[in-house]
Amino acid sequence: MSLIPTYAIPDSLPPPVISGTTVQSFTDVWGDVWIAKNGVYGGAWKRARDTLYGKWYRNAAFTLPAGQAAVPLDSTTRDPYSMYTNPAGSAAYPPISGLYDILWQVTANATASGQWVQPRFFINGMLMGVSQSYASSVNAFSSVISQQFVLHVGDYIQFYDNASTALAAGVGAPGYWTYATVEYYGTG
Amino acid sequence: MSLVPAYAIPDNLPAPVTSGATIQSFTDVWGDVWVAKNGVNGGRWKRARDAIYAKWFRNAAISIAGAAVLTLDTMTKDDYGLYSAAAFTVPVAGWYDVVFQLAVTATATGQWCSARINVNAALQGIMRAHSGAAAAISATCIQQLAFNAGDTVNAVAEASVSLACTPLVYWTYATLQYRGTG
Repeated sequence: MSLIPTYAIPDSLPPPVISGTTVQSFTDVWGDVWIAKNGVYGGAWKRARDTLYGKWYRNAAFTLPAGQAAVPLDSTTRDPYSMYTNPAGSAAYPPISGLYDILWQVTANATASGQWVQPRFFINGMLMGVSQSYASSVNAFSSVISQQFVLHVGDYIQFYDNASTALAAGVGAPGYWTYATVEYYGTG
Repeated sequence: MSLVPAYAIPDNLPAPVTSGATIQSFTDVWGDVWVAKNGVNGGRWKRARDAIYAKWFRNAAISIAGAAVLTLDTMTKDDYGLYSAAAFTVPVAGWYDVVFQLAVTATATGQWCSARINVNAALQGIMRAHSGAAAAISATCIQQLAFNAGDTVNAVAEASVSLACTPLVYWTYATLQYRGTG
């Protein structure tokens, strides 16, 4: 067995980040991507794949308007690195480049059969995900999108809905009706 | 600077793969699975969790009738060539995310479509959506499955009557993503 220098053993990572407001990243010699942010876990470095995850949902009553509109998600289940910084535009900003998983579910309370909802998400303003479901009775119904994309720093994801008519959204904690998740998978 | 035993430091990975046509895999002493393929990233080794991912979608018009394997004709990303002949072939054993979304244009209420995921020709996942009008409907089947190397995964489209598939990258697509050893 040979002996070699220790390169990016965890204790050789950069020092904890204790200033600034942005997410810092570091790629070790094994190709693992680490991130740290001032004020998050004391600024300690964590593997991006372990930690870079956000889930947000709609808790307060909300009417999905007829046509296309952003769905502001007013509650956070988990988002340690604060990706979702623009609730009005329902936008999340991945802090590092890589392959991300995006999940977006919308639930509506139908008032008649034949109504529909169409969750949509946009990346940098371009439609990249859509699905559509119909109501068959006066009841809740849902539609979900699951997509993966390679994203870069500065890209943003917006969570929208397009509905046949104004409908009350399915809301409430802990976020099983109307919610979105963004998860870093790896370098891609 | 301290000294530690040289286990699977990158220098100890196998040499880049510069011949052959299949994906090679290597498990280091920490249990991380690495993959490499001749002609991909210069044959260098990458962690399977970073690299093994494929997404294809349907771009050309096609009608869906009954249940049949759907050919996804356009690639979004597939560095290692997992998709061929209307099937994903699993390159290394492990735990995978599989997503298949099918969208069709209904011509009346009460019609439906199903997105099915078949593994080695056996049904492993299904999602069905019904129409409430003459318009697009979509079914999104999301599964996590354990695979062996060489397993084949098909996106099977099914409809209650002959219906036009709604194409494009955000309507009708399938993805395969390696998540770990399981």
